[in-house]
Amino acid sequence: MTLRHRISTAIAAAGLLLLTGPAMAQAEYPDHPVHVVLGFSAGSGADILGRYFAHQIEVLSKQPVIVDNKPGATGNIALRFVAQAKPDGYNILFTANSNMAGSRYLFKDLPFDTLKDFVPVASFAQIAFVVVVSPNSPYKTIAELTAHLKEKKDNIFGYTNQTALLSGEYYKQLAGVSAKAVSYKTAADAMRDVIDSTLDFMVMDGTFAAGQIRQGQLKALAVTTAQRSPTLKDTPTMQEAGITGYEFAPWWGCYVPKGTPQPIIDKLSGWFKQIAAMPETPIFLETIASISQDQSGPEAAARLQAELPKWETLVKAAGIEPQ
Amino acid sequence: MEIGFTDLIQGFGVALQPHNLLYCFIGVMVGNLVGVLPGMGVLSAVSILLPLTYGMPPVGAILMIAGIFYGAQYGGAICSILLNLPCHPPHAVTCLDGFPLTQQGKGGVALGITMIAALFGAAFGIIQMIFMAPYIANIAYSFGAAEICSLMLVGLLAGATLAKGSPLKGVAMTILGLLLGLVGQDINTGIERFTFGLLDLDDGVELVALSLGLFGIAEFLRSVNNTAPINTAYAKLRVSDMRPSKAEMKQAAFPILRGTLIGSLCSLIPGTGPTIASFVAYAAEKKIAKKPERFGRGAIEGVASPEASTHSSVQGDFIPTMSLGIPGDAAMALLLGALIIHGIQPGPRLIVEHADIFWGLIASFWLGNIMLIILNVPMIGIWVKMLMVPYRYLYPTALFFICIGVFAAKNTLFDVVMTVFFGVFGYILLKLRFEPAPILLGFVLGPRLEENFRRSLLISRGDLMTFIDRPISAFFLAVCVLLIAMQIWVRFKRKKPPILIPDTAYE
Repeated sequence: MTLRHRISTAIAAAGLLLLTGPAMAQAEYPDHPVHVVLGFSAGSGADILGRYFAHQIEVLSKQPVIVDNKPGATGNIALRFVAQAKPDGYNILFTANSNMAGSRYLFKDLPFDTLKDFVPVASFAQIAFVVVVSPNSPYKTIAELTAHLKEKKDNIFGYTNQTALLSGEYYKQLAGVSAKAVSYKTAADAMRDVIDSTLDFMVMDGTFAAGQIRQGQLKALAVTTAQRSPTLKDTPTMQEAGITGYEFAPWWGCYVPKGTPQPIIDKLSGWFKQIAAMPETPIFLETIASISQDQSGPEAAARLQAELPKWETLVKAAGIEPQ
Repeated sequence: MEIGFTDLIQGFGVALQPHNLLYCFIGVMVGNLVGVLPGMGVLSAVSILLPLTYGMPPVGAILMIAGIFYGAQYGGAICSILLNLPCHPPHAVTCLDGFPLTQQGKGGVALGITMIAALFGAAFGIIQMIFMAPYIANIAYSFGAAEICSLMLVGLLAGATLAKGSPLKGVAMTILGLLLGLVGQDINTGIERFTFGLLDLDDGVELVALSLGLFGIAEFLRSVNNTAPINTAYAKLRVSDMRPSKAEMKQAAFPILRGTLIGSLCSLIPGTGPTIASFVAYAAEKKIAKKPERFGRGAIEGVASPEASTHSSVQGDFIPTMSLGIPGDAAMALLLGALIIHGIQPGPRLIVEHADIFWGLIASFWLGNIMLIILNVPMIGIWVKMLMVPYRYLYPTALFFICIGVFAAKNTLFDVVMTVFFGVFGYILLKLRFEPAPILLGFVLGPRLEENFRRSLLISRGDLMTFIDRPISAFFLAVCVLLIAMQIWVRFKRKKPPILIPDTAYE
């Protein structure tokens, strides 16, 4: 073996070592900072929620976790980013069911397929929407509101995002009432119109509504979730209020791009289990009117599948043209 | 009224605790810096700092975040006046007269006036918050969709005067701004408009990208072409020049007062933040001026009024947020988020239930504003010296910060490309003698006009009379009619229409 041979062998060996380097490091995921991608701007309710979980993952994984706010196009910018990211567990997405189950009916020509391009890791939080009316309104229950809506023509209700719009649509459909939807950018913008009964009712995000309800500025008739919200213990669910079969509210999950190695997915979902078991988790979620949830990846996937027909019918019923 | 000085003194007790004082100082420092850096907005600064506050005591956290908001206003005017760079959107309108003042060697005076206007506007806002918060907050409730819609119409009509030179060009630019405001998803139907199929345009054009492109980059392109050293002539000024003369003070006094009042009114109307306040103040000042043609060529009133307006609006913005739990704009929504994180429920009872936070915050406003004046007045000299840095170093540095700032707003490169696009576009406009300022006005007011117009019609079930039936809305519409009538009357009265002064003098 000539010297040149030896050198080239050595170089080849070194090259092989370098090649195996990342593979070996992958075994101890994560070995560098993890990015959590959020389709909402900093400081929004969704951001507060996401950052709590990002922080807990940082504690458990002992690696910095960076929250990347990529707001825009109702979260689709963030989804596109993660769908195109390397499936190595370093870019993970926190998002709601409106994106994962609803967007396929709300938009056409999306540059990704939410069911095929992502793998759910866990579902970790359930948000409550609240049906609210003016504190001076004579209606105290959903049944009374329904009766009023049936009697009166030209009803209007307020909403701030598409999940809230469809929650209202769903109520209309199940209760057999009609009402036109009025859009608001934020719940705060709509406060005035709810209080003076300009709007017959409004479907509002619980995070904002909870404080106003407690202080008597709004009257809550029902929450749109399957269970009552610990933040609003006295408010019945729509189901309890007599709208049989009603459940429509945002729930949050963690998703990774398709092709992410199973050990990484398992590690991530293990962390979410641990976070759900922490005593401070439900307490924190209660401050933002959310419920802690501990569902595995397959459970979240099944829930998405089950929700698809509901989104499809409601988007059509609401007369939303897919864009 | 029972709100006495004891509460306020208690508030000072809270704000003067060493750690709270420190948090307040950090807040205003960061805010000031954010204001000076082009494109770096309050929102992105708070998003960086918000997670840090999770572990902090609630009072300290709120004081710090609030400090960023009003601190940024102090920094914002500096680049507008000295470099024609609207580093912070509310101060874009300050460029119009601030930069010509700098070119005339009066940059220091403009900054001095800015500081006086700032302190006055802020002080007024704080006093208003102390004595009238619970009463005034309810004004927010008398502004529904119809009222806001009519008010925006007044703003647009008054704003058509923003441009110097050809009124036709001014109107054209306002309409262009309105069209740019349409870009993105329509909030009522979700239909995409002018997005060319680009997902990144779904939320519309970013205000920071538009304003930095039209003013900042466009100005840069113009100076690159003009190798003549326009710079050195007006950089030679002494620090003592920043003290305004008696005549200049007299000239600025009433505009400051008027700006302050406009700002405080704007702060009470939901969704009307400091950017709109400063535009309205500028337009109003120009409208009532005896010689409106002085505006855009270095009128001291054109700096004083919008600056006072911005500051009083920012302080006033805290009133509906703290006393009703209703944030006036996105920045205040963030503050509300911070309160919720710390387990404090915003709403009408906050003043009673969390007196330490409410009064501590007010006390910290005083302390913070004084800190800002102490920070900024000695710095004016340093800022002015910045002009002596040759363009070839200064502007690339500024461009670098513009890129970072624009990128940071939404973490996307698309907005940087957008800024460059509007820069080139703005340069073409400058060359063709179109004024870019009305574009910004149309862009800011247009979407709110449309949103509220359609909402009022939905609420009134399609009845247009709603705009006249509601007294506040009817009043604003009457103002619109008056504005138009005045314009026509002036034309008729002077038999010969005034020959517009060409702006060659300025160029």
